[in-house]
Amino acid sequence: MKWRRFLVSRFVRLAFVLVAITTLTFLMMHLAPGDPARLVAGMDADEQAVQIARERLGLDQPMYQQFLDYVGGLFRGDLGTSFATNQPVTEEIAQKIGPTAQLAVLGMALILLVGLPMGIIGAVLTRNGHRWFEIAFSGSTGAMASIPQYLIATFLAFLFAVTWQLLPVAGSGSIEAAILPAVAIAVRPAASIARLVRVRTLEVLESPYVRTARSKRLPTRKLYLAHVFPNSITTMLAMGGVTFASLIGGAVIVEQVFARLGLGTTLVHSVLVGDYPVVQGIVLLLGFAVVLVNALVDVILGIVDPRTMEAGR
Amino acid sequence: MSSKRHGTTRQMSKAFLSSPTGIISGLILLGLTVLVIMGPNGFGDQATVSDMARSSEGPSADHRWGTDALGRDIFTRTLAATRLSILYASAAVFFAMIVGGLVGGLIAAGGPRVRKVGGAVIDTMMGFGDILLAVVVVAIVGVGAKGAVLAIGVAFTPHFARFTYSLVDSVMVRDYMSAARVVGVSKSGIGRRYVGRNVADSLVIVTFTTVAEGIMAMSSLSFLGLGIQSPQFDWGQMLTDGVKNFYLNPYAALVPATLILITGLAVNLFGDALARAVNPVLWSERPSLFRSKLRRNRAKALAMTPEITIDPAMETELRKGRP
Repeated sequence: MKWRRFLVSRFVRLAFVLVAITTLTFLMMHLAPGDPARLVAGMDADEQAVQIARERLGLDQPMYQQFLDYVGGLFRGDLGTSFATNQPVTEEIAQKIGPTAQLAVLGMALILLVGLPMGIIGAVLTRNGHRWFEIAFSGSTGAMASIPQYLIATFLAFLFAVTWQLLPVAGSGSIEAAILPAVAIAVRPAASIARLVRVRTLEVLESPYVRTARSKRLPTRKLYLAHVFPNSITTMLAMGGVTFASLIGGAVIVEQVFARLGLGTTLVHSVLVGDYPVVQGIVLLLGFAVVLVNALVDVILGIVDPRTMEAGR
Repeated sequence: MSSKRHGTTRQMSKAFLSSPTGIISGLILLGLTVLVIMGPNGFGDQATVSDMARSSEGPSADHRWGTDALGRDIFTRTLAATRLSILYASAAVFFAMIVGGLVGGLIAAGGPRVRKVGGAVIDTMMGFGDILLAVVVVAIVGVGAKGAVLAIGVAFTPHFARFTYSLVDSVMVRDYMSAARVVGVSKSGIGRRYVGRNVADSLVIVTFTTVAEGIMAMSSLSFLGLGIQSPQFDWGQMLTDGVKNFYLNPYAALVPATLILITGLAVNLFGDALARAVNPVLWSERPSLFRSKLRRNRAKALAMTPEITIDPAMETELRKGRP
């Protein structure tokens, strides 16, 4: 019963947010100053050409009709046509999603493989009052967590691509070209996760049930696997939604540093030239991705740690 | 009652001056303030006039960190960019503070429905991440300085709303609030004198430290080409140009990047020192020459002002009596 209520409330919220995002992206083009039809027809086109463009885009229809068409298109997987290239937006996205997805997956893997162990090791090493280590850990992760991703990207590119010439500075083809950008977007979230995991692990290590386990002479390896590790995973999972959003935002910027042809660079370029259908499509896609990941994290967290079901509502 | 929480001005400045990070960051901020006042025009031609004969040079005697793609001195130009980088960021954060503070306060004052829906909206907005929100706003408002300020302002608004909202909540449950109600302070009086004053303290400090993030966010928009447009220039824009010519003269990117970093650090450290200075509870936690004296003063102050507490049973009675 509790489960059903939890799922229903999550689902209602999810549906609400998805509708909000859809409405917002639809309104985006209409809120912006200037006439999209003129943009499409060209700045020096005559009135008649602009009128034709307007009819072709459906902009002469009443607002609600346009909205219904937009939503109907979404259900058919039709995101409209790019003003700039006259290609369907879905096609445009399909061509550019590769490098961004690669970046997101690599970045996520790095965060998991670096942030989590660093946090646990940090906790184990600082547990018995190694004050200098605690200062070093908090200081370095704190600094890493507050440097914006494009600066990290710039410094990384300088060191690895310019000074030592180990990795390519730009491009989106090979896996080598994805290493620096992935590190650049992963450093910040990995550092904040390491901080959180350390604090949480310290709490667990101090907790009565770990003391009980120790007094039962549970082997250390088992203690960590059965008690400490699951708790750290839950902590990280709770950060999952925020981390993913920060990865997406990071990708938008970091792609620019390394000149990768992904969704981020396309989004920025489309904003600059006023290619609204592409902007709408990418914002919709990224927005949905963030919201769905958040909802998924909530549900998984509910399964792993049922206490969060109560608190989350 | 609320004023007892504060130290005297002398105590506060003493507490502030005794922290080395506070002094160092203060000096850096002073230097930055001078740069903001000087502005781009304070540096003469070197920052703005291009010299194609000397484009993208490495460090030399004339140009300590070399020149950018248009032959302008990088170091001078970076200093000259300080004004816009900091002013626009401050404007954006100020916007977010006002709007977010109002929204957060209204949600906190509202009924359970308002709180639930408002909280969900804020959480969702925060969930998107600042960059995506900012890009959407720029797409609507248009590219340029105005759009960028508004974009960062909107992107930061949910953070301030969230902060104000939980701050008001935490103040509402303090003992002196119940005491004020018992004494019969009017609702508006409570709002002004107790909630308002206590929230304002923290809000001012948080606003100050958020300027650091504002600078970074603004320069990231400029970096994407969505922020300040030429002929105006800020650090983010210089960074973009620098990255394009990375192999020719990496300092074109590294110098503005370093100044962004230094500014961010200084603002954060200064904010921390400021927060410590106005909060007597934290004085004793700070290693300093004045520690023992402050501790003694604090102990004295505590001894003189016993915490006003209200019997929990009486408190519930009082709550029931109110609408």
